[in-house]
Amino acid sequence: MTLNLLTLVAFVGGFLGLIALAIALVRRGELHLGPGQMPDDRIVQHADGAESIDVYLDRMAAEMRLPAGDTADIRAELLDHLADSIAALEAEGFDHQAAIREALGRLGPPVELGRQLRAAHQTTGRLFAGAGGGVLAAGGGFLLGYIGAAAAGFVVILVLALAASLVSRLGIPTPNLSTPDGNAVGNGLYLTFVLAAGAAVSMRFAVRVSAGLGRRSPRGAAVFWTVAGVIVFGSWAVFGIRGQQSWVGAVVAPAVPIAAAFGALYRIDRPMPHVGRWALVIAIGAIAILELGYGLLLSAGVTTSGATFEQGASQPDFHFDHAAPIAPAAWLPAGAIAGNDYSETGGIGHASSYFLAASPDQASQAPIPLTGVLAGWHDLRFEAWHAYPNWEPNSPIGVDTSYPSPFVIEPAIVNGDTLDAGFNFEKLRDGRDWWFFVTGVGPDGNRYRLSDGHGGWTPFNGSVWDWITAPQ
Amino acid sequence: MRPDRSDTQALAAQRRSVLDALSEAAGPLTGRAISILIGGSDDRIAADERLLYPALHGLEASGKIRAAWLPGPDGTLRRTYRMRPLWPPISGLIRSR
Repeated sequence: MTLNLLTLVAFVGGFLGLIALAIALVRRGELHLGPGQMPDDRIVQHADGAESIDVYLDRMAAEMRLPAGDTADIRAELLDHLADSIAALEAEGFDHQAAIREALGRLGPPVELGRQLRAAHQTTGRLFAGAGGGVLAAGGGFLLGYIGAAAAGFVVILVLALAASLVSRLGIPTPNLSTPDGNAVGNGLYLTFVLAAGAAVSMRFAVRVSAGLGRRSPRGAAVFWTVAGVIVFGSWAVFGIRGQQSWVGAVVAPAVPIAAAFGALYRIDRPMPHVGRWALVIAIGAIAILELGYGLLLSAGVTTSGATFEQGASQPDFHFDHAAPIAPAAWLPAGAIAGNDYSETGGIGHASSYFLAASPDQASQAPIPLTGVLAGWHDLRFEAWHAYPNWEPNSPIGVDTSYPSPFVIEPAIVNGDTLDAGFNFEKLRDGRDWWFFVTGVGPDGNRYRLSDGHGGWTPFNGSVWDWITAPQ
Repeated sequence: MRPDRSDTQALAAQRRSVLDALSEAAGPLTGRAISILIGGSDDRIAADERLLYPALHGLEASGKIRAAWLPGPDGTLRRTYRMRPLWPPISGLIRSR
């Protein structure tokens, strides 16, 4: 318990620390990307000859290709220098226009000066500082965007749920979204929205910080970060995020890399809005909202993650004969009780089938070795059939008779007193509701089922790519 | 475009001159004041002003000198340079506590 609390504190503290670091880096970068440290109204003014000086400084600035703040500061500094030089030259006897030409001439060609200044500012050290700062800012920005969007989306969902509750109380029918399909679609949309927001903020932070610290223009840095963001966030959205999936989720998944590119490119030259302590306050508030909301959900008994729900059954009206007729009792162990088990480990379902020796004392029932018992049988196999969704209130139960054949067939391996097979239901798009049987070809050459099998449901669990490339 | 060898040598020489001028100065100096210190007279500085600001900004980027906008005698802000102190001023440390 103490360890869990410490882990939670370390995680939350680490996240908030990274967010605080990202905000500090953004503010530092904005010093170079903003209007400059030198207020315009405090710059020494020059009246005559302003046009030729401005032309010179414009050509120099175009060649520098530095952030706006640095460009403004250099312009102000050179303007100050030129004003002093012109005044000194006029004191030596130059007329005003000649003094301007001489002062500008001493600074050299504007293109060459701009190139030299660019080389002076864009050092290798600053390039690494910009890249490293950009990575840290990307991480903190992602957390900030992710947490903020998660909290905002959560609040919207709560409001919609309240509205739906009020509407239903008025007698107006509302769609049932609490089905596994509805959950998969809802989760996919919510996760995509949250990831997209995180990706957009992440790339915004990364571009602005790396441009500011690296003394590059935001547009130049944005090209690099767009490519990196699309690759990283696109790969993550398509291959990395695992869980329930749906076609809606697969269709909207590209929104994540698109949002990353949007965050890196859209009006990237504009200064960032002031981010400071309020961003931290919002982040802490968002975490609190998510924690409280999740706690409320848990206390209400709502599950938000996929799981396998199984039920054993042995009922005559479950349409088991649709799969195969039950084997004649004479060909099975006399009086034995058939048993079937299913468990999942690491996404692989392990199915087993066995017979327990007949005994009035249930506790002493022992599994029957199958080698001799099934001597007259061949081609033993596990068949998984689609089943009716047992989570729907008015749905029929048992094997779904609209399917003419099993959707997975696995050979049954005799393992002492059990028949075993492995299934991978969670990687099948249409394998959620299932019922498996062991069937075999009996001594008369016909296929029979050896017992009434075992049913359950397993939601899809995988990446968007797994969903798209799933066999069915 | 990579600068040729003579450009690099000239820039290095200008950097040394700037560092010499700032190390002898009693306080922060503007770029023009540094230029005059290096040249000795307005006529002689003409050729060196081409590399003055690249040298100043390069030295600042490498951390060898510090730049700050300070008010001049007439109240206008001017960008000034000074050698980077090895240690922060003790008076500042005392004040900050």
